[in-house]
Amino acid sequence: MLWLYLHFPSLQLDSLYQTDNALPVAIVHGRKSDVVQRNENAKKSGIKIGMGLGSAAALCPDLQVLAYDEKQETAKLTHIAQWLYLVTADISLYPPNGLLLRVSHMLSLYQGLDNYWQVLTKHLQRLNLRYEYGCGYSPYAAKLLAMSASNQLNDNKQQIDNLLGSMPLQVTDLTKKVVNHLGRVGVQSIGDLLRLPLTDIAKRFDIELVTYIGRLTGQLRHPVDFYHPPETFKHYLELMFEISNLQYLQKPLFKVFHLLEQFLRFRDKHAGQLNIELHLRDSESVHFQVHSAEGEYQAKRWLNLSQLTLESIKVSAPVIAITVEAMQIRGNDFRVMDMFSKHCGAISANELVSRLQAKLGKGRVQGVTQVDDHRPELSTIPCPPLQKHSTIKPTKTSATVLQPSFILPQPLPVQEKMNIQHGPERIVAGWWDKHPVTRDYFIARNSKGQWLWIFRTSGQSWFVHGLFS
Amino acid sequence: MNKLIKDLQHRHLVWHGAVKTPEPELESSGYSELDQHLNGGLIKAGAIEILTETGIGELRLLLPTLTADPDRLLIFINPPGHVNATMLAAQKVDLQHVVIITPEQEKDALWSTEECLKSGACGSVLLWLDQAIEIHQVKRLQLAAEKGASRVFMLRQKRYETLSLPLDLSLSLSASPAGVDAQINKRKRGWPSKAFHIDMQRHWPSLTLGEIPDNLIYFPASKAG
Repeated sequence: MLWLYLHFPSLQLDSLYQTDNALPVAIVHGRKSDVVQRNENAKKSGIKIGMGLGSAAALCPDLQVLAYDEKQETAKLTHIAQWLYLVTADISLYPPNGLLLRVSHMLSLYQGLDNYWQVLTKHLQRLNLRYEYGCGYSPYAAKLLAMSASNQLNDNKQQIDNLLGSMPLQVTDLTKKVVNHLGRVGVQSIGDLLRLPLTDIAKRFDIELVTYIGRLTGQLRHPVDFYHPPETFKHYLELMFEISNLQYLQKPLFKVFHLLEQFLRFRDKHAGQLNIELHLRDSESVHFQVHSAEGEYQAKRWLNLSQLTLESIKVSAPVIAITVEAMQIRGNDFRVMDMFSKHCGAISANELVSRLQAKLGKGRVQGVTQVDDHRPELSTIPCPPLQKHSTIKPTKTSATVLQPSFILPQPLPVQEKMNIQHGPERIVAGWWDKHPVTRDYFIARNSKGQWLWIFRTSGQSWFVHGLFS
Repeated sequence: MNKLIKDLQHRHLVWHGAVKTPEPELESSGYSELDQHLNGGLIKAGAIEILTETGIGELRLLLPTLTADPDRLLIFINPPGHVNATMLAAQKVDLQHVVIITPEQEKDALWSTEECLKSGACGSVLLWLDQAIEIHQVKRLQLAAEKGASRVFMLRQKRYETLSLPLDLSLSLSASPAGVDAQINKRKRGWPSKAFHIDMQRHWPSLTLGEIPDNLIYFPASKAG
């Protein structure tokens, strides 16, 4: 079985959001702060992998230094696996920076190794990452060849064995003790090791070495856990610079939305809500939601919606990273448009509502619905807009009795002379829910010609409660 | 052609008899007196200002127009109270298509009006505006209304009246016992009118006063509680 191993030597560096490529960047790790990854500019200044931070800083004074973060690399690796899953089926993660792909099962689909590789590299190119690869007839063989940056792709067993044979034992996953032990008996390379009969090795060395050789040559089964993509989108993006002006967030946000668009488009899905988290320096991160009632996948539209929400958000400290999580992912339902309708609207009602809600807030854009209650202030309640209502059969009273178009938020005491035209209509309700109402309603007209809905309480005080506009 | 004429033409100061701009589409308002004075009815797309007190019948006057397009949204922006769903349902308004917007700032009210108008998803937008409005703001609303083939009714107090706004129609309403008294202040493709009476007795018999009966004796004020 043919395996392909992809090794990403500078994964954290490549996944950084960089506005400016002209700066030398290095990522350091370990007790001595050794350089583990560096970009092209840092390389030009003479910085080498494994160099201490002191010497690196001496070589290049304006070097940008970041700490190595294994968690972040692993998260990015999962993201790569998710992306590659679109073109290849069997992927296994080797955190923090390796991916193992089972090639043999894909060959009949792509009709040959070359085609497969072409599709794979073209797909991988979109992520803009540096990688090294190798392939072999066992996972260990593929990994060894990739780690030593052989970057050769062939399915000729003889050639692969030759390449493997010349490799020193130091690059293998074997412990130092075992490698030293083997060195003392004159075994320096993998080729030397493989020439020894397995039974002899079993006699002199422990079972771990035997298992390793067995798995390397493919004689022993090597169990592999394959990756299954989750149906959720959650992306964390670390910013290269701290951003305190939220308008500058648009570019990095667009980058994440673009990934979201790809994610959704390949699944033919729409997202209804994005949870965005702004990680602040030395302070609680800010959470906010962007809604789209209709569901949206396009990065451009999401950017527009989030822009409106961002206008009303204040942060107390600079933003250092952002997380975007897509919620309410649902299937794409096609909108039916009337070809002969005169108003070819640019956007639909749902889209309009989500745009308004993004800017004004959810509570400020509402629909109304009727509730079967005789108390006027409770018979109309706000509800999410554009909701299909269970149609309440209009009771006889509500259909025949005249009601005002506007109910005042608070009844106002009557302060002027007015003529009562109709009434009374007595409403006695609410003794069951601690909001009892005993009122006689009248329709009145005041001297200015306004038609008002007034009521008299049992205590004989008069209030204006509505306007017949 | 003469350079001078060309120049004037460029500034839209010359009227050509041969060029016919299409008449805007009109829609009956449901009240014959108003239709008669507007040569057929209210325009289907544009900015309409109504200068009125609240509660004298201004919404009743517009209701036939508002319910004429049941497939599109009906938007209330900054209404003077809680919109009563019972009344809307009784007038056969589909509550699913009613959206009420109560922005915190007046600036946002104008912004939402413009968004609603140009979306094309709204039939009519009712905007209660308690501030002076400027020419460029009206112009923006008008362009948005044309784009979305919708119309906005700006309901304002009389004290905000200014003649120079580029509105499609400006109407003043005042209370009258049997309906409302209306006056056209400004109209595109037409002249302002004198005040005329719109009778609402047929549409709203309960909210109009008929002849005041002459046998009515007011209760003496001194004895009133």
